[in-house]
Amino acid sequence: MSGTVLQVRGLGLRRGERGVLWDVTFDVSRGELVALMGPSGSGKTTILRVVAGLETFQLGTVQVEDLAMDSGAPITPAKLRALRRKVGMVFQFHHLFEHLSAMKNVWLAPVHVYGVPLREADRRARELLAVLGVEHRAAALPRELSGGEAQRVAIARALAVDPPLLLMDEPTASLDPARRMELRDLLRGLLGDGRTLIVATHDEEFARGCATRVLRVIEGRVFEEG
Amino acid sequence: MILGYLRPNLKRKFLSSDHPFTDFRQNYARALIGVASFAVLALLLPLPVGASSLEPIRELLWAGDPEGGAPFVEADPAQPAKLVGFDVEIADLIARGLGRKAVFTDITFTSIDQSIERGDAEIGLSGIEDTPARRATMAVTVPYYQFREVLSVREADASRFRTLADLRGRRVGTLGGTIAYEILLRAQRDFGIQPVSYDDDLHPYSDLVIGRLDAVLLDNVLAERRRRALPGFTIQSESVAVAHYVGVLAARNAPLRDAINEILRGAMADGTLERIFRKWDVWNDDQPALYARVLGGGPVPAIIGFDATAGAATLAGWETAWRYLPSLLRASLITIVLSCLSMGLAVVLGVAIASGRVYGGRLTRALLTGYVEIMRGTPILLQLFVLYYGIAAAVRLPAFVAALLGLALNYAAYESEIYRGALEAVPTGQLEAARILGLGERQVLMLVRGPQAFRLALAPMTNDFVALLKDSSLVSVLTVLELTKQTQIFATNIGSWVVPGLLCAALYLAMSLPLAALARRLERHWKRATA
Repeated sequence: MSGTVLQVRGLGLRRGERGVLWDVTFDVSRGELVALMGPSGSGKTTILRVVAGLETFQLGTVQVEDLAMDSGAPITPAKLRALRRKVGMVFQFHHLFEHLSAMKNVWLAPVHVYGVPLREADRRARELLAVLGVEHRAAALPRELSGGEAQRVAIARALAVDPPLLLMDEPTASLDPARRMELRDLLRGLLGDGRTLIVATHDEEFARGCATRVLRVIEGRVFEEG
Repeated sequence: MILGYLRPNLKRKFLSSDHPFTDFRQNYARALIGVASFAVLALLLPLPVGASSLEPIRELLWAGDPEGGAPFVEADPAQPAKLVGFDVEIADLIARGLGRKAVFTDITFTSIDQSIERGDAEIGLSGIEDTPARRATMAVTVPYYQFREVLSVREADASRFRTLADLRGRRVGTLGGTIAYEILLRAQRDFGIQPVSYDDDLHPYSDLVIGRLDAVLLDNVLAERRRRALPGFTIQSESVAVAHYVGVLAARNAPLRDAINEILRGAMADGTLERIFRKWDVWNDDQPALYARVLGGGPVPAIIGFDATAGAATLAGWETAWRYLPSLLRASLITIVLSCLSMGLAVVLGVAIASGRVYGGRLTRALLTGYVEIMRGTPILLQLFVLYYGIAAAVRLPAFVAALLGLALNYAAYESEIYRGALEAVPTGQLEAARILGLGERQVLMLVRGPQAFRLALAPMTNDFVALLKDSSLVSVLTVLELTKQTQIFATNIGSWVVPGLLCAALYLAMSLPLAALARRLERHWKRATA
């Protein structure tokens, strides 16, 4: 179990009468970059949202490192706080805080959640933006950023709290081919220091180019690809 | 009589279905001849005293304010549709003398002069005071009743507050826009008293009894009436000034006024007025002396014991404006300070209510929704009355505090709806992004949702602030002398709304336009800001 970051067993989720996920079972080991592949509406995003604690589910269990979430029972605030320290997420539409600059988007959580001194958080945020190639946009508001820049700032924001497991939803959706290659190299670079990534995408070429393993999601079911 | 005879005939001829249309022209011609004959006759006949051919034939429209109550004008407690009071009986007396029928029109006391000037009614009779201002701008009848301005104090203070000079630094109440108010303004300069203006003559006395005022200066008629209903105060025997009630007409109606004067003189001579005032228990020794002066043809000064000749009405328009400007500026300061403080409190309360409605449990949400619906569903005027007068037995709020709280509590309900809408308009994705980073719900509200909602709420908030600035005029009912009330007093004193209205509008604009500009600037800054 020490090498397993995420363990999903028999996960089932319904919205009203409609089944969204059916008996989803898979593991993700530390240091892996797993691609969840599948067409739109197949359930990739829902799996990520369940792992991030944004959705409740009716069947099965989900365990992130030593933290288990059971079906049916609402997640307690204490458990949710612990989960937030283990799982980060980059949304398809970034959801950068519209009223804050790129820099403040990145240091908001370190300062207010983890109590990092502002100076230290500011230095670290600048470093992250530099690593992601958007340091020159530190003072810009989200609406002033291009799709690619916003994507990188969103990744920097997620990395700023250094989660062991990073979830990314359709990261290539707003990128041109050249930027996709850059992102692929970037994600590979992130696979160090014990970090694990799960990327939901329907971009076959991107998935094959960067993933260490591919899981297929078809109509709410997950299949291991050989 | 001739009209009474002709009209039914004409009516029968025109409306009867027994006459074929061929007879109609013949009948119509006869009718025309009949009407023309009547017109000639009517011109030749002697007219009733004072009537003119241009005035309505049968009705004398007179204005009064039943809120003034007995013994002036009030709805008969036994038959609320019927009016009673000595002014009602005097109106009937005058109408009879003119060969007309008195028809009442209900006008707010402070607007009677303006309504008469506009032509809404021909004569105002409602305990209207004879003043140099009215004499200068209106056609005023001979005085028909003499009253005394008397000081009322709590029984315990009867020996120490005998005159206005004894009331230095004390609050003395009266009706706004009256001779008594002018006397108090003079006493403010001479003795340092604090005048407090009311819209009615009931609350000065109730406030005196509970200790909000130290004295009340008003007509002896009003003071004695109130003392019969409300224990706890005494009326000082020494009068501050002597003045009179008159009927008031538009200056252009001076011939009608002269005719009415003849009727009033006749009623003074034959004892009709005495019978009326005795019936209402307000006859006293002052009246025979007044009637002797009026019937003797000698001049009767408007006010005795108070020099009002330097009053506003005797000055030129802009000179008057210059004289009133300092008090209007002081009132503007009260308006702006009250509005700013009320809005600040309304914003704080509104944020708390909106947060409770978005984040609270079922009970909290239900209670706050109830609060918002009650505050939005009842008139702000009623809320102000309840706060100041309604709960006075339990909590005696100072007028300014009650005004501030009343405006803030009312506007908080409206603000909370703006903030609730703005909070709910922040996209879910923003909230999920904040939660996934580990921010607690309070931090999400303070750091992400609140600031974004504030940006959305800023424009409607500005709008509300300008609305509050104008709504603050309502607090004059709580004796707070803000800009509109001061303007009303100014207008009543000079008998015109033109200059006071223009000045008042200019001052409101001078306050609201910079506010709107500041708000626009804030909005632009907020949109640009990197926070």
